[in-house]
Amino acid sequence: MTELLAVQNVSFSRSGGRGNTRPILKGLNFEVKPGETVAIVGQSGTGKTTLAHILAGLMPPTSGSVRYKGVETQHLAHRQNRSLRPDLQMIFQDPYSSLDPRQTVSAIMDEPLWARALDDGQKQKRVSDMLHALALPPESLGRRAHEFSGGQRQRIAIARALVGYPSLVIADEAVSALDASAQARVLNLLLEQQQQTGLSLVFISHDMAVVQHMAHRVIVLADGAIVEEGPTGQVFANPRSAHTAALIQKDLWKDTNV
Amino acid sequence: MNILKRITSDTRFPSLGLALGSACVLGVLVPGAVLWLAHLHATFGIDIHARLKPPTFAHWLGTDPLGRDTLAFSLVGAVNSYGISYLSMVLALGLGTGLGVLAAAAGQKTKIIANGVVELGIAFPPIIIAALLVTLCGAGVVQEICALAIFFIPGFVRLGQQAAANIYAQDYIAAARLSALTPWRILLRHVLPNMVPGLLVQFSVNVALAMLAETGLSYLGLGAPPPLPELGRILASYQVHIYDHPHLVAVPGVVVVLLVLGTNMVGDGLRDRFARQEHIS
Repeated sequence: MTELLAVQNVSFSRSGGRGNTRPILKGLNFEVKPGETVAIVGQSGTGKTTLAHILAGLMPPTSGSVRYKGVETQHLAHRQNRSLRPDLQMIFQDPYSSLDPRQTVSAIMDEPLWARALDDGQKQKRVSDMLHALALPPESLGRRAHEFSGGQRQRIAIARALVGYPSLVIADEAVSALDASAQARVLNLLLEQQQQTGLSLVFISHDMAVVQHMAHRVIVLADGAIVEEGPTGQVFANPRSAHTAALIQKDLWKDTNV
Repeated sequence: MNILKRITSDTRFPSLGLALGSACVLGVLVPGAVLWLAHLHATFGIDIHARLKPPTFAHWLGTDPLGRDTLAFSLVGAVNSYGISYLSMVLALGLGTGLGVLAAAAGQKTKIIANGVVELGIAFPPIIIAALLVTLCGAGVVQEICALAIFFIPGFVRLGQQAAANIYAQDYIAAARLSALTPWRILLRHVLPNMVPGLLVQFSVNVALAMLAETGLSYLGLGAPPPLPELGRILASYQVHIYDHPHLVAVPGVVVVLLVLGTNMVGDGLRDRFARQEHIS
């Protein structure tokens, strides 16, 4: 078994009341290898965030399975798997919803480290390294989340995802709320972590330039199904589906207009 | 406690309502509490020879039909009435919010039970509940507190459920689950602390409403039985003299108004303060 995350035949439907169900995801199959970055792209409304929640084990798929190191992610919180749970972290899209407004940064950073066997000194060192890497001043530790701006909050949320030595991070539009320089800093930090610790990334984005910079492989999602999958270079140079071509085109067109 | 600090140390928004409201409530309750303690040892001197006297230095607002000091008796009644309202709201807050949070955290079955409680509770006005309890168990302080609490539980169930459901939908709860926090820890660390401001506002507004209901119950004789002075019953007993000594009814009446208005103003002041703090930061 070489893959870290194995997605097998995952479907998800939402019940629309009166027995109607609306399919969101349709029979997805893919895998993520250790140290690999897989980008999932697609227009909004194609179920990317739903997929992110299912991959992270926050909700069960309607059918199919997502396995992390052989354990279904929806069962990662069970007692016997609890030591695996902090391995798999997520960076959320909305920096206002993703941080408890009344928690201090130090309390926020503490949570992913609870399940880790580290002494207090090591934890402190790790937290201050992370804050430094994300250009957050050390004195922010004592301040509460609601005192920070949106961009700062997103960086705190990213620090929280990375601080507990995860082996897989699912980043759901993680950098779209950041300005260009903060974006570059975060992306470089992710690449650096990947080189140092063999971190795997599932990178969900609609920003094709960022995807091209980060990903080893690209999965293109349309209407809840995979329309194209392949190495990044190949997908960008020679897209096989019209949908992918349109996504890339639209992005280039946007860039030339800015 | 952190929430107390948020209310008191924050001088960015001096609030007239909060100050005025607290002054009204404390102005009644502090002297009332002193008299209440004295009253524990010596019952109020019933003095038939000194009945219905006009104001003097010894009795600032005169004496009542049984020769008691009108103001002092009303203030002691206010402490009893406020205490009963307050305790019943503590009970309602604990039970109602607890059930509401459970309903939000747990599955569909708990939700159905909580909704049943809400629907059932809303169907009965407090007077019916109190009359039922008094018929079944006799009149008493405990029955009165229970009757008021039962009436206010549905509101707290609803508020607790909505507030908790709102918080459970936030991404920071998902992040806590990713960090292997147990559901119990998530409840204590994230859900309850974020509910405190809303509950505090609802609590103080409801104390004012409970105070009105309590006065109504004791006015109708559904409250605690006699020697215990309660504002409603004092009002009822003074009412017979409304033509010959009209100022008598005004004393407990004004005390009720001060308490209800003051408590409401405190509730509104807290709401404004929390809202502005969220807005600014």
